[in-house]
Amino acid sequence: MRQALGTFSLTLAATASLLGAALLVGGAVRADHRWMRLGRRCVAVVLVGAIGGVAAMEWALNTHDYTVRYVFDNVANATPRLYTVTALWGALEGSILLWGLVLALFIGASTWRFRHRGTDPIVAWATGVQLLVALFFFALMLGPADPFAATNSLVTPFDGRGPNALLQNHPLMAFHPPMLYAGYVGFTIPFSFAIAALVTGRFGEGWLADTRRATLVAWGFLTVGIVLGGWWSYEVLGWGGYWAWDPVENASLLPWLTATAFIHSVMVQERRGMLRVWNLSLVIATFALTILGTFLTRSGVIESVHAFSESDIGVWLLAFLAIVLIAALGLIALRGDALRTPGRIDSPVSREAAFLANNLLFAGFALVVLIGTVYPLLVEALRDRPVSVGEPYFRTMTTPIGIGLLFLMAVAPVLPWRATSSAVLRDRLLVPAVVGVATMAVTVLLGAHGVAQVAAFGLGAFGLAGIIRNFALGVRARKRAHGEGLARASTRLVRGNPRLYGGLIVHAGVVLLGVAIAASAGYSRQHEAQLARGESTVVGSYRVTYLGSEDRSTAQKSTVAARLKVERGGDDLGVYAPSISTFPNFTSAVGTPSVRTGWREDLYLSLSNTENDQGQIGLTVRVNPLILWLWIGGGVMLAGTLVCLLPKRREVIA
Amino acid sequence: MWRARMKRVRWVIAAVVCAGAIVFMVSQLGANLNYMEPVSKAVKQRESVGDKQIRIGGIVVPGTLATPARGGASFELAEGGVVIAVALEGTPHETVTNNPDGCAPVVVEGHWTGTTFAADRMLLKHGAEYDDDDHPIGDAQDDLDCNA
Repeated sequence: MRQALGTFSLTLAATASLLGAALLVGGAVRADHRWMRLGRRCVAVVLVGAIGGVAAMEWALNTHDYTVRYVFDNVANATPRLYTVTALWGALEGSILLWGLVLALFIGASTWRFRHRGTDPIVAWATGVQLLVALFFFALMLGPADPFAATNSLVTPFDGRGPNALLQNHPLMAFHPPMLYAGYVGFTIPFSFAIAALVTGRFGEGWLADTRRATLVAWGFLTVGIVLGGWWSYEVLGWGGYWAWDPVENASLLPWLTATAFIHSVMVQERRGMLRVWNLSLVIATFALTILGTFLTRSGVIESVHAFSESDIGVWLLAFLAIVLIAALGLIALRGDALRTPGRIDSPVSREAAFLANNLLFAGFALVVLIGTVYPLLVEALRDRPVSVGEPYFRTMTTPIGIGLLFLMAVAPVLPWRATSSAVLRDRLLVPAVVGVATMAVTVLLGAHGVAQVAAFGLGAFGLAGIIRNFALGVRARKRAHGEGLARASTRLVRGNPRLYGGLIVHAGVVLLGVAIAASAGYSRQHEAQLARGESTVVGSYRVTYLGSEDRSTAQKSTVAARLKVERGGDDLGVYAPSISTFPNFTSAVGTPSVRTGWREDLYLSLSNTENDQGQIGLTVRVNPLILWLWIGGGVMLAGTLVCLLPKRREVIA
Repeated sequence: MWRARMKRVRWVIAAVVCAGAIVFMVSQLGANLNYMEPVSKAVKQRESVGDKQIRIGGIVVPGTLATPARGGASFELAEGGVVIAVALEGTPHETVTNNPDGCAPVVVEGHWTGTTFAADRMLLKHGAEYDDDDHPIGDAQDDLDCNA
């Protein structure tokens, strides 16, 4: 029943995608409004099919229908409810099913947003392209990634294998993957409008305005997804870090980099009509990188903690990627002459020049990460020799680019368009620059070392001072002009230009992230010790004493937790309990660190082994500075993105 | 005339900067490549590799893991009928330490010091089930009669 419902739903969604795309594209070509209207109605059917497919899978998962192979492979009778629900995106086929649902929701939202322009050719083409993308994913589910395939057994198994141990060990599993998918999938909307603009020849600024919110929504989801991924890595994997330049982490970062470049360069096109080809290329690159990321994650070509098992869909994804690139680049080549714009950058010290430099750095960052990620695949394909690119490559290459971006982020928002004078520059940059230099001096006096770290602290302060100055001047002007109080003036200032102030809030979040990354990468300390009961180890100002172990067993897992008393300067900070769990059906033990989070630093405790023959545990103690500010920075970026999405409040002048 | 010359100079500067960046990137890439070989192949290539940083994949031989109180670990790594001694700086993965009698498939990163492999990092593919008959680690698990 569930299998039949699921397969029927997916077939319905695929058929409606095909029919809708044909009607919309055909309608746009023939200028037939009736066809276009019919095509748009197909979107509702696609949405119903996608919801039906996910509902059927959740039904099967939660009723332990082991006749479905996916259910048998990914849940067990003892799997807690939360991880039974999240098993939907715990493996290849289910994750594609979620992808289909998120895509259908985005297409539905886009169709609703443009409901009054349903017969506009650019909207018809865009919706047609969206449905073609949906058709590809639903076809995958009806072919090589069938989530409703039956178990290869004549007898229905009485229990399943359960999710991968790592995927049932932390509630963040419920949030991190869906956020990433929402980010990935959301970029289908700007991509479809870029293609529609190229096809219809309307590649002015209209399509940019049409997709601004969709781009921001997708970017916001991807940002949150990446930050949550770092948090999950920190809280679950137990190695003490949050980013390992793992190929799949890189795959999520790549579209984020190009999308961030696009969000900035789009302003240059809106304001000056320049960078049309560049903006189209960035949107296409962002979408293509989401497909590449999907290929890296799901084809089994790379070994990673994130990679799903080997599957046949790699070749499908590669073919789809090739079609996307050939079609998009072909259209750009075809429209080459018409895309040229007469505008030019008047001065190297202007906002558009700063945005251009920022775009080059983002593109360089993406290129460095892309090459470091795919190079091992090329070497293995050509020489049949497994190889990996070490972390030092990524650190060495991306640190100067990151510093450059922090500098531009501090400077660009205060530069005027077209040109500036030295007096304006001095007026706008002097105070933030003094704050930045003073911060560098103070941090060095306090013991900071490392050029990159000190530069990051100084540029962070420079940027933050510029943002605060910008807000302060705006609020002061409102208070003087309207006699408003601080709270009302601040709110109205932001509501009057949410795009500018939301962007500045996002920048403040990036500053927090940049400073936290610099501090944690440069000043983390790690100590390993074998401790018997009653023995202590000292790391920095912390004394950690092993009190004893306790065992806990549930049907889901068996856990051994070590009780550790933590003291600092004679103050008792409490008992912490890092643990190691083993799960039925999985040979790998999973460590769960225990973290004492603080504003200044985290104390990170993880077990490498439970009591051995000598009664000693293996303990890794890390002191990680400013980690909390990473997650706060991510939250601030989300808040800024939400502000950017607010409608602009127009004031009535009496 | 002067403008055209300045434009050319700018393009030349941009080209030089780009070329320099590419050369730097390629040199960094080359310096940070870690080849991964199964134990049997790594032993054959020991002389030619010298003290370069490499990765070796194999199975931890049951009962060989030692974790001295001063830290670090030592164990034997096997694959293709060949066994090597590994001295690990740092902590072995909990899958290995908590299952000393099992056969954990691991990848160690480090360099050769004589016939011992000095590893500074241990990697492990979580939840890995090497069912593939052609996979060297899968074969090694069969050789060692592993239950993993």
